[in-house]
Amino acid sequence: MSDPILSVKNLKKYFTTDLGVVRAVDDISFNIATGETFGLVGESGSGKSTTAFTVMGVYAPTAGKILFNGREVSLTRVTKRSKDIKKEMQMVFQDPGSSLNPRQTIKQILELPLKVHNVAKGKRIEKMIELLERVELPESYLERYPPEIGGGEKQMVAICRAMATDPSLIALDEPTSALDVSMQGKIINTLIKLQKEFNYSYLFITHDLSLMRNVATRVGIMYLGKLNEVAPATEFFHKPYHPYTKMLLSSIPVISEEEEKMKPEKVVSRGEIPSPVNVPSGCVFHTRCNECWDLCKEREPVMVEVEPEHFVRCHLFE
Amino acid sequence: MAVMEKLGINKKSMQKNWYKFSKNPLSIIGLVVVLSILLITILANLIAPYPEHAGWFTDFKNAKLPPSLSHPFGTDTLGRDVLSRVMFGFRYSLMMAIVVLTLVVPTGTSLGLIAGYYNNTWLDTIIMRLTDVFVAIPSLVLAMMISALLEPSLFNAMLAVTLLWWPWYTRLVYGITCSLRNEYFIQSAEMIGASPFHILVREILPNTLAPIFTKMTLDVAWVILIGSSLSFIGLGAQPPTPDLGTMVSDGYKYMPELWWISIFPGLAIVFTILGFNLLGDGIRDMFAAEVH
Amino acid sequence: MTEVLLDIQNLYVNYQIFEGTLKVLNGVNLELGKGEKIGLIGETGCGKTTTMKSILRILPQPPALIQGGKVFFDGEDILKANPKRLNQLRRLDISMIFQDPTASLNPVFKVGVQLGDVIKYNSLEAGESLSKEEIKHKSVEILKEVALPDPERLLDNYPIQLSGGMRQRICIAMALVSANKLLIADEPSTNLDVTIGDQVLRLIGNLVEEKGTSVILISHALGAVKGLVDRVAVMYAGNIIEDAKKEDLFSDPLHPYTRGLINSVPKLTGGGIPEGISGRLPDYINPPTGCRFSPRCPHVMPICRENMPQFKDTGERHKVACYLYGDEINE
Repeated sequence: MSDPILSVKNLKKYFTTDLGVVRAVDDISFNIATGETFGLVGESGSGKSTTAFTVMGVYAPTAGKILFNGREVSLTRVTKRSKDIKKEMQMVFQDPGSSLNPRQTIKQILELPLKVHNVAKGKRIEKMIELLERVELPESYLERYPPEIGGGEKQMVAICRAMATDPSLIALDEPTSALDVSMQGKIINTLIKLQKEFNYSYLFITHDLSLMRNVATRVGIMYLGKLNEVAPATEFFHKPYHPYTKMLLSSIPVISEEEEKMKPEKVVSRGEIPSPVNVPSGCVFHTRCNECWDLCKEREPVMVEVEPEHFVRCHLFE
Repeated sequence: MAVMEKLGINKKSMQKNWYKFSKNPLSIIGLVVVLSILLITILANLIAPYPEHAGWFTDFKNAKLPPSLSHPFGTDTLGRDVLSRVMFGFRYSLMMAIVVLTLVVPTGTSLGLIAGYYNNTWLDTIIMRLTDVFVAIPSLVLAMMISALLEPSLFNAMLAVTLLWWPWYTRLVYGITCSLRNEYFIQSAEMIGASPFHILVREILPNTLAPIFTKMTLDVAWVILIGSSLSFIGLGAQPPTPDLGTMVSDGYKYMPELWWISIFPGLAIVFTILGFNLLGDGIRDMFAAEVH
Repeated sequence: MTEVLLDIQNLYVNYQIFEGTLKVLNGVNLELGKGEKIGLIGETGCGKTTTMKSILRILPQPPALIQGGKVFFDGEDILKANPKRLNQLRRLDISMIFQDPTASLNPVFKVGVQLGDVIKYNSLEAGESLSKEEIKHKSVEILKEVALPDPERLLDNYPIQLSGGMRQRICIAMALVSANKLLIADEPSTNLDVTIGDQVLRLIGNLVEEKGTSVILISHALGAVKGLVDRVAVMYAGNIIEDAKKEDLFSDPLHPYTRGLINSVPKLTGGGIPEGISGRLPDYINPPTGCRFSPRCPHVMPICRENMPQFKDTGERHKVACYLYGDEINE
């Protein structure tokens, strides 16, 4: 890939808790090309949200490198990053209720990024109106408070706030999970439209595979802190290799017959997701894997390229 | 108005708050009592029947008179009208509350914000351990200690109460700040590059105002009680200042024959505290989250 | 046709708040047969939880107020039942699983205590009194039924020590003890991961098959209910607007809202993200006159704004409340 906008190499993020060390993100590497949407899927405890937060600087990495446009940004938390980097990377969060300060007007919320990144005072209102227009919200919303508007509209405001600094990379952590499905379409389509218009690169996180199918250009699947498979979207869904990917895909509830046919053969998921403090030895998935053999319990597999641009981490394919 | 908006207060929310407040008749009673006391305090000069009795004054011919039409609360051992002195007495009680809270709330809140935002660092440790020290000692005992070390006076009593009061606000604000610190909107502000000052004052502080305001109202009652207690044992206002606590203490030795000298100031204290407590409860109900 | 277990007729429920009165339920009609499983689909705020809480009579009254309608359970009008009878019903016949398993379990009591209590009250109501040993034995049996590993040790755990899936299974176990006739499951798999949620739904399905319990499964996700239920009812803004056998509903949805909903779901086969349904849920303080979906409906007609359409059977037990299918049009 020619000069990716974001390059993550051997990223690790461990948390020390009373119960032990949680290896939330354990040695993952991936790249995001300019203008593409890179999706991360996984269940709870997979580390996908932690990855996004670490990339964005909410957490300082335990080890590994994060390169934005070739510049290393991984050393410390976001508060210590330089302003021009902060401008370029913004985030939209999962819960619209707590991502906007309930005690501030929309105007105050949108003004902050403009003020910090030195937009002239006289031009701010203009810019705010323009941002709201991009998501089809009227000017009158500037005077309103977040608790007064609906969840979908709150997310739109959160998207405006993310765009206010003219970033290049936007991380979106489950942006529609807390909303009803009828709102989801509007928000996602708006995101796609804006991406084309402003050439944003997206790091898109969700557990909803049907949504991911229609949004991402490339998809990576995580389990207990490890990245197990990365492939272009169509490949990922039509020809999954990793047993976990197959298990997940076969569990998705779908409505139509054609979707049922597309799903891989039903892999009955067994057992619980292990506690992240007590990660299984060898391949972390081996306790739930139907194709597990002795090697899987002892040694961790490495990522190999099974088809062009399609990578899998599994002893079956080494 | 712009300041109020910056802190998150607006007209519609005030209307809704009044609706929630006025649901409980006790809160209205509290409000009425507090407003009456405030009125008396401001207008004492005008409405007290014998304003000069509040200072140096003696009239032994009319001393120790029981309650009558001309002296509804009777007169004390120096012939001073108790009613007038009680009216002026409210001034001293409220003055103590206002002075103490004006000093304590901004300091305590600032320290709480800083300790909470920088939690798990040395700053947090220093501030909160200091808070712990002060909180560990019972308030009245601490107040007595400080007052006794200094010369007894109203001013020193206020100083003593101020020194022991700030930690409670620090703790209150610290708790809220710690819980808000990891909310998404704070993360977002950090990502955008907002300064710590902006985050503390514009993002977190507006979310702490409701509990602070509730606590302040209830604290008026507490401060008055402690202040009166200090005066009662002689560590607060000195004669001839008509402080309510001092008045109770003066008349104490003449109980029960000259009961009115202690009872009326005592009742005044009780009503003041009751009023502020009811008002404070009403305010707390007002800010309580709606169930749905 | 199977016997009717639950019959909700024209249920109206209001909520009193500062800004006014929320007219939430607008004449809900729902019928459930014995041993039948029905899925109740609707978006946030459409009134499904309120309806279920009305059945169990656990609505906080005030601010809620049941304005009208009848709810018959096994022939008995439970809106008129006294508290003692209601308790009986809750202990023996009807129970509910809530959406958030973390909030449904008391964090300060061990699992064994909470499960034991449910068993104790259930058996008391049934006229038996069980000893501690018997209760423990029964608890272990039930935990095995919901496929929880190491049940004896689990009884000694606190809810916080368990994962979401395990907590939900304990809630299911507790609900199954006291649900001889009706089990209401409110979004049981929504807060869980897909694979675990899938397991939980299959578990519920298996268990009710064995006992012959009727089930109302609430969800806002269409696909989730498909595996488990026989019939699907769709709710919008306080009304059931469509009710049909699941195959019929998914292959031939009649109501414009149902169609919009089915079309809003992104497909695994690709094809982009559908636009969804334009507009928002109506304001319950001033709901639209007539059909509450009319402001958003692509097929709206003048008559839609006048009166709420009747909930009628168009044949094959496929009921819908829409003027597109009424005789009124032909008049």
